[in-house]
Amino acid sequence: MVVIEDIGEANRCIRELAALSLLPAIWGEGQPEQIRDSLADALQNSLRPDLVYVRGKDGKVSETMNAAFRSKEIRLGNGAVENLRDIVERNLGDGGSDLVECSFQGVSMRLAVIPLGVSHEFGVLAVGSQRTDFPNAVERLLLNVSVNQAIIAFRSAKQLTSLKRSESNLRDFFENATIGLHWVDASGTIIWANQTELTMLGYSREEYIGHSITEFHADGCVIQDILSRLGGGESLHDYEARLRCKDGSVLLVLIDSNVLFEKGEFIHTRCFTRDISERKRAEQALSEASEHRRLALEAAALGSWDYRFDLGTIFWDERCRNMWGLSEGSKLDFESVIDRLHREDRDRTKDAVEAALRGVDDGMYQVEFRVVRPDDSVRWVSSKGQVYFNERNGREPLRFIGTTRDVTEEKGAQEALREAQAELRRHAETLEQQVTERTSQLRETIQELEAFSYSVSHDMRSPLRAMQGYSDALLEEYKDRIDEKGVDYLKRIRRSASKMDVLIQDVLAYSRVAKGDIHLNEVNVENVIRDVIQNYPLLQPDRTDISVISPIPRILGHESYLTQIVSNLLSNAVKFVEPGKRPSVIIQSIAEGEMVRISFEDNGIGISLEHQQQIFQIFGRVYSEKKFEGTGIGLAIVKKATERMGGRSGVESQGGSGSKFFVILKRAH
Amino acid sequence: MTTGTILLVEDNEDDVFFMKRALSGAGVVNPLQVVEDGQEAIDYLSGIGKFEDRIAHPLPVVVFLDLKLPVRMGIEVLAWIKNHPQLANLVVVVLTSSNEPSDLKQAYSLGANSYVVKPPTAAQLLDLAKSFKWYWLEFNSFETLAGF
Repeated sequence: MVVIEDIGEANRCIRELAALSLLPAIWGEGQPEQIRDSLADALQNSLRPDLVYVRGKDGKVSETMNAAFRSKEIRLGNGAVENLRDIVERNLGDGGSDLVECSFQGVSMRLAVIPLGVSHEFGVLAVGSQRTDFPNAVERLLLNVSVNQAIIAFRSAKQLTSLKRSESNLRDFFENATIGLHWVDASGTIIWANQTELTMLGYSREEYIGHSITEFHADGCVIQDILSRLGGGESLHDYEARLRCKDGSVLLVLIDSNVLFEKGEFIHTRCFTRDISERKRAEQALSEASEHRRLALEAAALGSWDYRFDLGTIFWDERCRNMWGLSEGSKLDFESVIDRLHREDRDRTKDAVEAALRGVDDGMYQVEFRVVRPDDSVRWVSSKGQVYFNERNGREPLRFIGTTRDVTEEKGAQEALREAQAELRRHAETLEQQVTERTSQLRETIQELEAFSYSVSHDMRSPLRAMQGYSDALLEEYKDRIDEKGVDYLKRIRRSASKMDVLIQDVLAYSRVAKGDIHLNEVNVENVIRDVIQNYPLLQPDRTDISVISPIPRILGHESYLTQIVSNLLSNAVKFVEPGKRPSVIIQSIAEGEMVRISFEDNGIGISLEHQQQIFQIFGRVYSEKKFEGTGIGLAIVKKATERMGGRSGVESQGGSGSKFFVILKRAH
Repeated sequence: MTTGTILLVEDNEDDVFFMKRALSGAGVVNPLQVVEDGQEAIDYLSGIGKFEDRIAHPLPVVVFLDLKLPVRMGIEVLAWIKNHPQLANLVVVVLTSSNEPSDLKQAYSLGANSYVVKPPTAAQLLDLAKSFKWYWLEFNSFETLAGF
């Protein structure tokens, strides 16, 4: 390696280099490879060597030849390159050999081999020429100086680049910091401001820098105060001020500022400006939200509580304390709160709290319990809450927040309702049981009655028949041996037996009408009347006048029931007549909407008003049996039969002037 | 005019008496056999036990059947007769104190040939016996039932 010993010579060399346009390459900014390559180009252009060989630290080799070398038709093949490399590498030893005699395919060459960098960190440069005097003194200098200068230049360029970069980084940092920055000189003029501050206020650089800071403050007294404090050497922290934006709005900011003094001289302020409008708004929103929450709690009569496990604090509001009957300053902790619960509710509540703290149901907590207050009064409280966890730390509970509500009144109402319902249920059950029992009793009774009436119709009538039969036999076979009195007795026995039989039959008829299942069909009333008249000797025309005023509409009913009705009404009509008077009955009908009224008007003895209800009762009699025979069941059968067919029956009579019995039945369509 | 046997199924001895009296009063001369309960009626018609001798106990041309009977009810006897392959066409007159519609309906459903409610008086019973003789014995034609 050639060492430059003479400054004067070096300066000359630099001038040479300048003349050779080498300096731009050397001083230029750029990567080592670019410097190396531009150095190779520069050397080639200035020295006009036959060959330039360059190897970068990356091992890349490039070689160039000038045209003159090429024109001599000396070709360098792959082998030659390898040789060249070998030659160069061989001659790079410690400090290197500055000049190598060599030959390529018969052509002699002198090579100046120059390691770039102390340990070839920038590579190797070899410049070759066929000239035997290569390199001459100037060329030697040039090579040494240029290369070493290049390295120095590269290093300084690198330093400069790094400095420039750090300055640029710093500038970028200040320009784009999230905080506004500006400098104000002693006169109050803004001499510098970062982009953030400009953006924050909406001004361009020109509109802001060079102007007085006072122009941008909304409150003159505030900026005056700031400037005078700063001038007095004071540092400002979180100083609240209002700045005027370009759009006319006013920005609320906090200012931190102090002054850079150099040797007691005010150089400029260093002012940090933070926009706190957002924060203010958030604070206001928070305060409003908190107010809303307070109102909501108030409206719902909710107490609120807040356990901060992270801060170790417990907050219970006044309403919450009131529910527990706790005074303002009384000690509060989880255990004492639980202790004040009703004995039966403690474990349950504790379990619910612990479950929430374990994270069951995502920390949701809801429980109802009784609080026993210091005055022994008991309140029902419904408590709802939520546990918040530190998710990163194994679900460690951070905060447990919630509300309580006094539900004593609700509970009372619920309890009363529940009791009432239970009572009602008990009543219903009892009632149902009673109904079941009575239905079953009734069914038994009905069955017994049916068995009874069956027995009546068979067994009780049988002895009556025997009484009648033997009386008849006696009267027929032994008449000549019984005196008149005996005959009379026998006749009385017969009559009694006969009456008894009629009575039994009427009772059976009534019970059949009362209990049987019936289906309503279309019934021809006129036919039924005709049949009844034909079947009863007392109703024959020789004894009675019966006129039927046609037409009588068909009814919806039951033929045998209607037969019962007609026969009972007609036999009554002809029976209850003054002795010696010829009975007369008029049967007529009149439509009444969906119904038809069929009346039986007689010329009998009539029924006074007070007896008109009574006669429709079973065994309801008005006259003694001696006067008018009968069982007192006939009209009861009429009443029951009409009712069973969906109609009703009645009588119109003034007494003494005949009666008009009627039935109202469904008309057939 | 048939001279066939009449079988009276009746447990009430009074009614047997009145019936015999009425039939003789009406001039009925046909042999009258009386059994007192439902089982006896079936045994008689089957010709078993004490009724084995068909000469002493011939198959009847008419059965008067009471419904309310001991051991087996008249309705059972009626059903038995009407389901019997050889006896199904035997004329059965139900003679009962019941005028319950349900009894009447059931008797006819099972194939009773007539249903008569026992009349309360001797005179009415005599009328019944006369009508019976006149209709059933003089005019009615019977199928001759094969003995078995």
